Amino acid sequence: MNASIPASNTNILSTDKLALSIGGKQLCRNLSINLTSGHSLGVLGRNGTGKTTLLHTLLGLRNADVGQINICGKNINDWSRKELATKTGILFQNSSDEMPASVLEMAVLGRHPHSNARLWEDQDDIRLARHALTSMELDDLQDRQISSLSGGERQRLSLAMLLTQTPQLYLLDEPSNHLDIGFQIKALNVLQQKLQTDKSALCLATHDINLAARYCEQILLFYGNGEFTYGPAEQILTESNLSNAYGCQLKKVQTGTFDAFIPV
Amino acid sequence: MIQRHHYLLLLLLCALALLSFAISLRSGSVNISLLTILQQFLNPQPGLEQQIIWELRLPRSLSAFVTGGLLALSGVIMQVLLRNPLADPYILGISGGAAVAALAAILLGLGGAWIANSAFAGAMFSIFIVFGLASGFSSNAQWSATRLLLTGVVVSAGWGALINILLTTSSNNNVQSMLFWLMGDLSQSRVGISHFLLLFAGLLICLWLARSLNVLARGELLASSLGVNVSRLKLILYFAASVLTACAVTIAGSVGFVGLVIPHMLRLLGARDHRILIPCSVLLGGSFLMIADSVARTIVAPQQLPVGVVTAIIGVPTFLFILRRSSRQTL
Repeated sequence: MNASIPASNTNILSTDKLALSIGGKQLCRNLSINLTSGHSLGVLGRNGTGKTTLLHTLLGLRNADVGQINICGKNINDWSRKELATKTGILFQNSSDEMPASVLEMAVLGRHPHSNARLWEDQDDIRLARHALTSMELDDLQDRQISSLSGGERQRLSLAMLLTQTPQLYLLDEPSNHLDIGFQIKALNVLQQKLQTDKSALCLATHDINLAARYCEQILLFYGNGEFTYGPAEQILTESNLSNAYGCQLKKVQTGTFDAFIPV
Repeated sequence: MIQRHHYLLLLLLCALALLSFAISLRSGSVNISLLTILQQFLNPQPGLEQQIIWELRLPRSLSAFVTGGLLALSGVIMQVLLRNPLADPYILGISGGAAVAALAAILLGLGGAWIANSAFAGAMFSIFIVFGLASGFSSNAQWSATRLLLTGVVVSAGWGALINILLTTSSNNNVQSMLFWLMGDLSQSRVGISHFLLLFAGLLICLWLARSLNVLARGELLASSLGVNVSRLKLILYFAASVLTACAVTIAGSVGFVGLVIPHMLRLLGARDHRILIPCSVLLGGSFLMIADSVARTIVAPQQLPVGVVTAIIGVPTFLFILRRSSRQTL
């Protein structure tokens, strides 16, 4: 895998012999992944197999049992919380909206890690936020209250906030939640473009096999018993691997651009 | 992203604070004109008017402003810390602890300064009890907002029981002063320079944290992912809010409603950003309590009402009106 990557690509994320567990359940052992700029990793597996736990661990929100995580060439524990937030950003599955805020106010929060103790955002911050909102087609809703947004609009706002953060490593936890198929493709196209222009990398945890098949060069597939397979997408995404992981029969369908999988 | 209507709101609230100050100085059984008051400030002439203004009304107006500012600021912090719109400065049992200690002092027949000091001691005691129980008395333990809230509410209930024991076993004479203390009363209060400094320090610390507060309001996980050191921030907020509340309770007893409603009023008026909400809360909280206190000491003159009664009587309809108006426009 590494041999095929051109030298110009810098290492964004690497883990060494990571072991994760949650609530006493072992999720994986000896997980070593390597993600360079411009590339995406798809994390697949059934519910509760460790996708979200892995993402939260990669962001330093929880500790691994064993193993090392390197983000942008530095051990995750050597970054300060704020510096790390300029390198990695995450789209969470849930948002807590008890307190009121407008759409633009929310989007601009993504600039928080870059604030450098300034009290107010500058024009560049606002411009980045507006640009991100436009890319998620929310520019008409800038002044709306978040409580009045639909589920899909709220999800696009979270994506816009993440884009405003401009991290090197994008961690997406179920980005397709609440999104119609048009916006699923739109959102990932925008991100894929970012990977090229900003030399960033993407880690996509999803239950949508076909979304991962379409956008990710690497796949990490959890089987749910602590086992996983990791490698180039074309090697991991096979009928037998997926049927085994998901506990139902899946069939490969040629679409022309990528191989899709449907249950039969 | 400061907007023009934010400046306007701040300016209006400054004007309101001055107006409330004037109203507060004018209110009382002796009618003194604004001009005379101004003259007494610029060039004090010995006499009855000087005594009334300098020794009675000014200290009381300042007490009202400081207390209102402290409570509103503490309310803002508590609502973010607990991410609960129903949170107010007293929700974690601070006023309960203060009340038990203050009532005990009244029961023992101690004077004003002793009541204030024991209220402060009681408040501090309650702060440490609640924090200790919520965090399991260990510095690195997880203390979630829910855990803190539940601990605070239960400890409050405990204090409530003790308050009722003290009330039911005291003589009628004491019960009267106890009730005034419990409802919040400014007639005995004198603020010093230290109270002002504390309010100012609280305001500066909160402004310094205001950007992080905006992020924390969106949840602890998101705040962490955006680079906020959440456990350190929560610790600062908890102790800042507690000390501000303890100070307010020491001045005026447990004046209700200000800490809960002032932040909400301002949010409904569009000040959701903490960098605006925090200074506005201090101004509006202070003005509101100065006006409420003016009403409290004039409406049934020569008798006085406890100011806590008036805050609710004025505050409830005002808040409901704003809520109804804003629900049509933005929500």
